[in-house]
Amino acid sequence: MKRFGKSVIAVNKANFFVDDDEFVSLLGPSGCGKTTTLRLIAGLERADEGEILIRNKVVNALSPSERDVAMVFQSYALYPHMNVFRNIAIPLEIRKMPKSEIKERVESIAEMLGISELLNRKPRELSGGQRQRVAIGRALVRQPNLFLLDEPLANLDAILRHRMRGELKALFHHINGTTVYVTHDQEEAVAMSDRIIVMNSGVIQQIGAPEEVYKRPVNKFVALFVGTPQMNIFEVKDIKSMKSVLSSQKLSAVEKLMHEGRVEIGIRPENILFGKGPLSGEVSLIEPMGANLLVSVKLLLDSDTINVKLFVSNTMEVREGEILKLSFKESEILFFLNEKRVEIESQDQQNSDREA
Amino acid sequence: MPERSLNPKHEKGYWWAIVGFVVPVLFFFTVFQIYPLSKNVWLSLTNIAGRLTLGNFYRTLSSQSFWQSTWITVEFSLISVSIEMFIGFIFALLLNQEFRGRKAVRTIFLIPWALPTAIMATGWKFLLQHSYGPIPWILYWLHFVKEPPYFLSLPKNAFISIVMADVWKTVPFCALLLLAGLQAIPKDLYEAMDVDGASWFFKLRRLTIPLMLPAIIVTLIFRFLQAFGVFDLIWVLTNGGPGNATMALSPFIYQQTFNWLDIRNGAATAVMTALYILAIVAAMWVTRSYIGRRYA
Amino acid sequence: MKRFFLYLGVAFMIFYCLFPLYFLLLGSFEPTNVSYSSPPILYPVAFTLSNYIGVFKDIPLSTYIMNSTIVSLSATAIVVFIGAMSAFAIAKIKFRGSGILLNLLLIFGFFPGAIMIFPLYKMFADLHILNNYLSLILPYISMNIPLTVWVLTTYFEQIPIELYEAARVDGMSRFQAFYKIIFPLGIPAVSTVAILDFIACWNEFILALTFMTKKSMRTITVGISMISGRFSYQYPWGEIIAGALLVTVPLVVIIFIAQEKIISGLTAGAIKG
Repeated sequence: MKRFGKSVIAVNKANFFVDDDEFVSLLGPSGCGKTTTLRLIAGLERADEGEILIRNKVVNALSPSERDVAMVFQSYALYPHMNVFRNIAIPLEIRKMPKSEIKERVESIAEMLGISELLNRKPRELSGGQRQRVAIGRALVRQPNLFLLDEPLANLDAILRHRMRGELKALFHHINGTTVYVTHDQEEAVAMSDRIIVMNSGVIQQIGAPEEVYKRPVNKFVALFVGTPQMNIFEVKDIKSMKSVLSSQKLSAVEKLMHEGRVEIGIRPENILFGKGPLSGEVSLIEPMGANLLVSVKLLLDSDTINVKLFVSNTMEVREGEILKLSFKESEILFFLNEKRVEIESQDQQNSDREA
Repeated sequence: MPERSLNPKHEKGYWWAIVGFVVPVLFFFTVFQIYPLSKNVWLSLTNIAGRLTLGNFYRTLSSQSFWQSTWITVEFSLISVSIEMFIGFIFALLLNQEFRGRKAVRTIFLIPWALPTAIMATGWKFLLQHSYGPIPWILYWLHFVKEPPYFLSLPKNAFISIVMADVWKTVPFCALLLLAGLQAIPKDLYEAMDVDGASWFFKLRRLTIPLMLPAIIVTLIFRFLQAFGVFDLIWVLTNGGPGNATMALSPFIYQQTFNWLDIRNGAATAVMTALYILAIVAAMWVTRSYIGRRYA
Repeated sequence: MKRFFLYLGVAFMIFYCLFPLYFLLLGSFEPTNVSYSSPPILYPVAFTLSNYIGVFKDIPLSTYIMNSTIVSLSATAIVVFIGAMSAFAIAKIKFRGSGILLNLLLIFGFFPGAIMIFPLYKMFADLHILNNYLSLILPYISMNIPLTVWVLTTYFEQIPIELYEAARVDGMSRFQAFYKIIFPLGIPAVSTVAILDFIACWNEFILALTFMTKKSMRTITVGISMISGRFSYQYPWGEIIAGALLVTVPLVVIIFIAQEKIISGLTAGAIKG
C-alpha cells in the first residue's frame, strides 16, 4: 500500500504475481496508480505497507540500484550530456564490466535496435523514435531481474506508436525477459501482453489474459475501459422492454436479479447483428472507421429508448434517419448487477456446458 | 502495526546519504555563522565575570549613540533604496525597449555592481574632495550651489555623500533585477491593450506596475536588508564621521568592538541589529504571502 | 521623436554608469601637479604613467593580488562543491527539514558580517590562524553558502527527476548519480554561481580588514582602500586611483566574458529567493 499525504491512497492492496518471462501490462486511466505501482517495484517510491518481492526476496528496504531492475521511462530520461553509446553503456560501466565487453554488448544491442549509426550522437540530435530505442537499449543491455516500462510509447506519434508496438512485442518475446508494462492505452495492452492487470483508483479490478479481460470483464469499469468503441451498456428499467432481446429463461433470471439492485445489460458493437431481427431503430449518427462504419442507432424497446453503436460494413448503404432492423447475439450479452458482472445461466446453456 | 519493521519508510542508508550530502554545508554554516552569532548573544547577556546580566542591553538601549546609529541606518536604507528603486525602474523601462547596443549597455550596468564597495568608496572620496575633486566644482559651475560644497566634512553633506555613492553603485543592479521582472510579463498582454487603443501611460499604470508589484517589493526588501548592513562604504568614505554623523549600525558595532574594545556592548548592538533584520524578514514574509494571495 | 528620447535616455544611462570611472582614469594618468590643481581640470591635459609605476613601488600590490586570488579561488571552489552537494540533496533526494534549512540559510545570508565578526576574530586568534589564508577562506565559504545553495537548488529542481531516477535504476549510488549526472548537467548554473561567489570574495572588506593585520597578508580590496585611510591629508591620490582601477580590471574582464551568466545568476538569486 502506498499513501500520498495522509488521506490519498495511491495504490491499495495491489496483490499480483508476475511469472518468469511473462509480459504483464498494468492498464488503467491516468491517476489510477499504475505508475506508482511500477515505481514501487523499482524502488523509486516506498511502500507504506505490504511487501514487494523480486525473485522470492523481499526488496522493500533495497534501493533502486540494488534491485537489479531495468526501467524505461515515459520521458526516456536519456542523459543529455552523454552520447548514445555511453547512455546505453552506463548500467554496465556502473557494474564495472570490462571495456571490451561493454563495447561488444552495446554494439550488438544497437544493431538489434537499428541504431548503430547513432552511437556517437547526443540525445538532443535524435528523433522521438530514436530516443525511444536508445532508452530501450539502455534497459536491454544488461540482463536484469525485471524490465519495467512506463508508457514508453506515449510520447510517439500515432504511426510510430503502432509500429513500435509490434517491434517491442517481438523484441521482448525474443529476449524472454520478465516485463511489467504500464499503459493507459487498452489497445496496446491487449496487443502486447500475456496478461493484463486492470487498475482503477488504486485498486486492481481484474487480472487476466487479454481475451478474458475483453470478453469476460468482471465489472462495468473494465467492460467500458477495454475495447474501442466502448461496449454498449444500458440499464434495465422495465423487464418488459427486454422481451425482444432475451430468451424467456434469461428474462426470468433477470427479473429475479432486479430485486437485488440495479441491473444493466452490456453488448459489444460487433455482437449486434444488422439486417434482420426483432429490434428496429433509427440511425442517428454515422462515423466511418475504415473498413466499417460505426453506426449509432436509437433503439425503441417497448417504452424505453436506448442508444447503441454497432459496426456496419462500409459496402452497405446506410443513411441518417433510416430505420434499421437489428438483433443481439444473445450468448454475448453481459449482465451487470450493481456494476459487477454476473453470470446468468439459462437451462439450455447449462445443458450445452454439460455436453461440452 | 507489526509489518512496520519490514517496511522501512526509506531504503536503508537514506538518512546517512542525506547527512553525507548536507554535512559539509552544515558544518561551515554552524561553525562560522550560527556559532559566532550565538556567541555574541551569550556575550551580550553576560558580564566580564561570566554572570548573566541585562546590563549590556540596558546600557546599549539607554545610550544615545545606539539610537542615533539606528536612526542613521534606517534613514540611509529608506532614502537610498527609494531613490534606487525609482531610478532603477526608469532605467529598467528604458532597457526593456528595443535599441541597438542593448546588450552592451547591460554589460556596462554590471560594472558599478561588480566594483568592490571599498574601492568604489575610495574613488568617490576622490571625486568629492573639496578643492580638487570634480563633483563639487561641477555642481558649482552648473549653478546648483553658490560655492563648491564641502561634502565629507559637514554632517549633512557626509550623509548625502554616502547616499549618493550607494545610489550610483546600486541603481544599475536594481534596474537589472526589475528588467528581469519586466521581461517575465507576457508580450500578448501588451498587444491586447494595444488593440484596445491604450496609451503608453495607461499601459504602465494598469498593466506594468500591477504585474511588477511582486518583483518590485521583493527587490525593495532585498535591497533594504542589504543597505541595512552597510559597512564598507561608510568605513572608507566617511569613517562614520564627521563626528558620528554617518555612524550606521555595522560601523558602530565595529567601532565599539575594535576601537573601544567594549566587546559586550558591541555584542549587544550586534544582537539588536540581528533582531532588526529578523523583524524586517518577518515583515517580508507577511508581505510576500499577502502579495502571493492577491496576485497568484 | 520617440527614438530620439530613447537614445537620449540610453546615453544618460551610459553616462551615469561611467562618469566616475572617467574622472578616475583621468586622475590616474595625470601628474600630481595637474590632479591637485584647484579647480580641477575636467579634460586630459597631461599624461604620465608614474602613478601606475608608483603604486607598484609603494605598496606590495602583486602580493595583495596574489592573496586575494588564493583566498577567493579556494573559497569559491570549496563552496561551490559542497553547496552543490546540499542543493542536490534538497532538490532531488528531498528530505524533511530541507525547507527549514533553505530559509535559515536565506536569513543568515542577510546578516551583515559586523554582527558576528568578534566571535570569529576570537576563534581565529585562539586557533592562531589570524594572518593566515584560512582565516578568510573559512568564513568566505560560509558567507557564500546561502547564495550558492539557493541558486543551485533552483537549477537542480529544473533537471527532470527522471534522470536521477534512471541513474538509480541503472545501478548508480546517490553519490554517483550526483557527480555523474546531476552535477555535469548543472554546470551552467555552477559556473554562474562560481563567478558570483568569486566576485563576492574578491570584494569582501570587513573580515579581510580585521583578520589580516599583517600588511603582507592584506587582500587587494583592503590594501587599496587602506592607503587612503592612513594619512589624513595629502593622500597620494594618483596612486590610490591607479591601484583602484587595477583592482577593477579583472572584474571588468569577468563581466565582459560572462555577462549573461552573471545576470541570470543575479536574477535567480534575488527574484526567486
